[in-house]
Amino acid sequence: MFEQIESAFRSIVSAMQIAQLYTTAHPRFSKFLDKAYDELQAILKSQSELVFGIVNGELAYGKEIFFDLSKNLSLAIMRLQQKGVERISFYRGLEKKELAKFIEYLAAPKDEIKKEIEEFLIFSGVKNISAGRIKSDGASNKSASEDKDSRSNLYEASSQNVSRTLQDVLSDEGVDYLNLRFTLSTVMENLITNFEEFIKLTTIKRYNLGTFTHSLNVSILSMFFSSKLHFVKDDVLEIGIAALFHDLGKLHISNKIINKPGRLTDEEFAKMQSHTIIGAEVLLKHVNTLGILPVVVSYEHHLRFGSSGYPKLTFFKEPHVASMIVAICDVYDALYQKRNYKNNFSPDLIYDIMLKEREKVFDPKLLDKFFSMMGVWPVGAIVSLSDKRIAVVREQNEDDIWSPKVEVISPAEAKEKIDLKEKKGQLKIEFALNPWVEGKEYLALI
Amino acid sequence: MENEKEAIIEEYLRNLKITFTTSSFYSKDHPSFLRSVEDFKQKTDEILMTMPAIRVGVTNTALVVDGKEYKKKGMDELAVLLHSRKIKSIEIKRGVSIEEISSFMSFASLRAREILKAGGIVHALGLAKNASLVVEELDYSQLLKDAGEEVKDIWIVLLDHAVNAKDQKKINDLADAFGNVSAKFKVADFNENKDLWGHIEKLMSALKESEKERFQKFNKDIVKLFLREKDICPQDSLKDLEKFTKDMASNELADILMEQMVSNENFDATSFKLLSKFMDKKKQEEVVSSLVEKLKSSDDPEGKQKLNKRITELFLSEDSPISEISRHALGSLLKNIAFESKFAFNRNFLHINYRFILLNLLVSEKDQEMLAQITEALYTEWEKIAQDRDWTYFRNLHEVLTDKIEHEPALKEMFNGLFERIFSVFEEALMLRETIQYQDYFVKVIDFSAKGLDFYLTKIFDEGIIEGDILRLFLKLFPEQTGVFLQRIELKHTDVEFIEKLIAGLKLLDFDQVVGIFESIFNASNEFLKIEVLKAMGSFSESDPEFLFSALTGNGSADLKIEALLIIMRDPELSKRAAKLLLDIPDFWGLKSEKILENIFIVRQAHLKEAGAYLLSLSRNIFFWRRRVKEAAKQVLGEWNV
Ligand SMILES: [Fe+2]
Ligand SMILES: [Fe+2]
Repeated sequence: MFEQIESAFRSIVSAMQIAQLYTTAHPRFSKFLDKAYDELQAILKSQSELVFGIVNGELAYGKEIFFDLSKNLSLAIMRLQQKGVERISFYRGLEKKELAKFIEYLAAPKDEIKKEIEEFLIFSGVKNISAGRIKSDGASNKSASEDKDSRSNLYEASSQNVSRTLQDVLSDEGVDYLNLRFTLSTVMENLITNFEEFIKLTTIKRYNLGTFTHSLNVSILSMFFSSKLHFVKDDVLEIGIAALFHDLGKLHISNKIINKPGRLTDEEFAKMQSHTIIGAEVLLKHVNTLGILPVVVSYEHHLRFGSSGYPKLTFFKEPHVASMIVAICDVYDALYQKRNYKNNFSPDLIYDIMLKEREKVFDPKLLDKFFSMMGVWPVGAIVSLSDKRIAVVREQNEDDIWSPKVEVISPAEAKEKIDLKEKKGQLKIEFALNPWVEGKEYLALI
Repeated sequence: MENEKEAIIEEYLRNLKITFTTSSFYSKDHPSFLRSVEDFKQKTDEILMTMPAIRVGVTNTALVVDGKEYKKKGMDELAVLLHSRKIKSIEIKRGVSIEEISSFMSFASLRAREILKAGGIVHALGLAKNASLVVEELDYSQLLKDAGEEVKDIWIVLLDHAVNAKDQKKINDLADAFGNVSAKFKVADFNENKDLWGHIEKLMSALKESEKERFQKFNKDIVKLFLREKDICPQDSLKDLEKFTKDMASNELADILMEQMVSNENFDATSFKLLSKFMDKKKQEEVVSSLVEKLKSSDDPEGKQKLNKRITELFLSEDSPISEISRHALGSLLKNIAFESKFAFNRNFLHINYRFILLNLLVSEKDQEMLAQITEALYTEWEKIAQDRDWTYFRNLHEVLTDKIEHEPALKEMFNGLFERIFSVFEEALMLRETIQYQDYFVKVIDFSAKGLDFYLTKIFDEGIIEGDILRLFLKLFPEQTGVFLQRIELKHTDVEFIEKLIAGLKLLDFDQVVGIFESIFNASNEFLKIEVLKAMGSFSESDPEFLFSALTGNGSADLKIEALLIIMRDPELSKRAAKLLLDIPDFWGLKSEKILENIFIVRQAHLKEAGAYLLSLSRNIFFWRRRVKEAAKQVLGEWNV
């Protein structure tokens, strides 16, 4: 019985993900819908009602909590919560079109359906499903901090999914492409509506989630950047996926070399350098599922503007625009990672370093565009203003990368919002505080 | 009874065929031709005793009389020949004169190309509907659909008819056909043929009022024609261009500009200046703003990128002929497009980069398993690679593979599929007459055919694609199949135009490869083609003396023997042998006088100086019954001042 219920829930989630990625009109959707419906029907034969609950991010049935299941489906469960769905009841007599309506609601982009789930179900004539929050105090409006938390959770959950995928590829297993796409498209969706928060996560709040953090950060940055370049959604997603794998060769080599006892030979060092080629070759095996872009990006991301980097090409070709985007995001994130309690790699220093390489490494126009959207002081940076007040960067001015919009956090009394572009000549940012050291005390305030 | 009638008709058609063939070998006043025409007239008179007229219909496979098809051997060939001359039917009535027959025969047996160039048989011979020999031709508009070189001449002739007859429908059709025909035109045609201008002006005035759309399109086609040749176009012809641009709407001109800038690599600053010269400032600005609109609404990033580059070159240069305002408008528009398109996610580029990565990986990789993986990836990608026709890429790939096999012969098997794909693209492109970079390289390296024997046979014999390299490849790739090749030639030996093309193609190959084929064609062909074969053989520095001597002493015509002799004469030793063979004929009783006379004629035409001694001896003959030979020999010696 338990397995049956677990499987039914999985099918509902799969249908939701398909609908989210491809719309409910896609033939794959009706396949999953049928499956979920049949499974629910089978359960509802022996019981008149089936109730799921979500308690503290875990999925529960009756008094049991599906721990294992919850881990795999954490993103989906988060989405249910975001949509205000903490309990779901299916009743005997359930019709397929009712289930389809319900899933449609879950899959719809944020803000597309304004109604709460209870209201939506009633208005849509769905009688055999009820859903809503567990709290019955009617306070359905989420607070800002709750929203922020959900994004942190999203980042963490994405990171877990991403590391699982990367590990699958590394251990030569098949890739769950659908799940990967779903993960990144969830990230992307949140990125577009609230990208500052996300950028903040990637630039300041360093989650130490191991080796794969860099991959995810580069992926997120690349998606953000390419959406700013007005690429269509599918292309943005594809670049995100490719960016995720850009250093796969490195992981592949270190997996092998690290497991090897003793010191590294010169040859092994040289091999580490050829991570671009090795990554491309590993990804060649996954072209059927991942497409050709990951191969191209892995091979080209150190090629540099003008193809003067590595690998050395026998037959010359300029790197593809996707590779140049990832190259910029790669260096940006790598430099940011250098910041810790010992080193203050401040944002303006990173800008200076990258600008020095403007012509040599990067496509200069593309680099300019990158900083026009990131700013020198990225969103979330804690900065000291020329009047000695401490502020946090809230928003960029694309035509003036040095003067973003900030919010004063210390002294804390008047949380003044200032557009530094309008105060040019009077007020400016002097330096950024290292969040590991002197900026630490302000972290709670931003 | 019915069968008997059919037998008579069949016999008559056979005569028609013989007369037609004879006509194609001899000039109009050659005795053989005259005799053949007389014969045919007699046969015609005989058959017209039983019926008032005989009408021979022509399809592309058979002759048709009274609804019955005649397609036996010979008839079918004649049908093909007449059909290719656009003849739909021939009707011969009682009372037909020998002149009518003779002029029809001598003209109709010209090359198809020449007939069409002259505007067709009816036009050229001025055949009237009420004459005793009436020819009906295929619909004239049918003629314009052909892609041959002659289509231009046909168009000119038909235009001449149409404007003189003030036939509006024909004028419309001709205007429509011009888009297709204009590729064959050169501006020089207009200078050489002053009437043409007059006709075109008449055509335009016939269209201007009532056929606005046609008029615009025709103008556009003409302007494009001028732009194509802007470099060689003489100044006073340029003035003529104004006639066309004057009446064109600015969006039409902008259309031409867009189209030309994207698709015509040769469209440069000169072209643009040429075009703008005939626009006043107001029109120029209109054209530019129309261009800007078109650019804005285009959603083809690659096209935009290309346009962007061209526009910068053309409009924004120092000496750009367009006004400051227009230049400014374009400049700021371009800046946006430039950034957008440079950093667009271009899928084509992605595939190009991917394929270069595969190539570079192939170079650096040594591991067999990995090489197999890369090969597999190239297979998967091949459809796209083949489409792009990047010959440098194909060449590089071929070189890399060859190089790798040289170091590791075991790889040959693994790479075979790639070689096959490269060769397949090459063979296909060759047959489609595409421009192939490094064609010589591929001809040299291809060592098996991916497409197979039948592909070649179909292309060569059914579709008539016989450019030199195709024949070269056939002989290289199918050395065992020369027999099949010769068989197919034999089946086509009556198709004069095909064999001519074939000979022209073979001429470009190596002597050793083709001498056998030439000899086979020679043995299978008629007199006319035999001569063509000999001429072609003469274009090689090598020769096959035994074959030439057999032609010289065989029972061919004098013309043919002269051709053979001319080749023989390139070698002094052989010349001596030829002189002896031709003139040192023991003939005490003068029984072989005719033969010797013909040989003297041959020697004289070919200027075989080595024959001098023999001629001298012939000229000294004292017997009266050999007087004619003696006179002839003397005459030649006199001509040669010996
Ligand atoms: Fe890397
Ligand atoms: Fe990296």
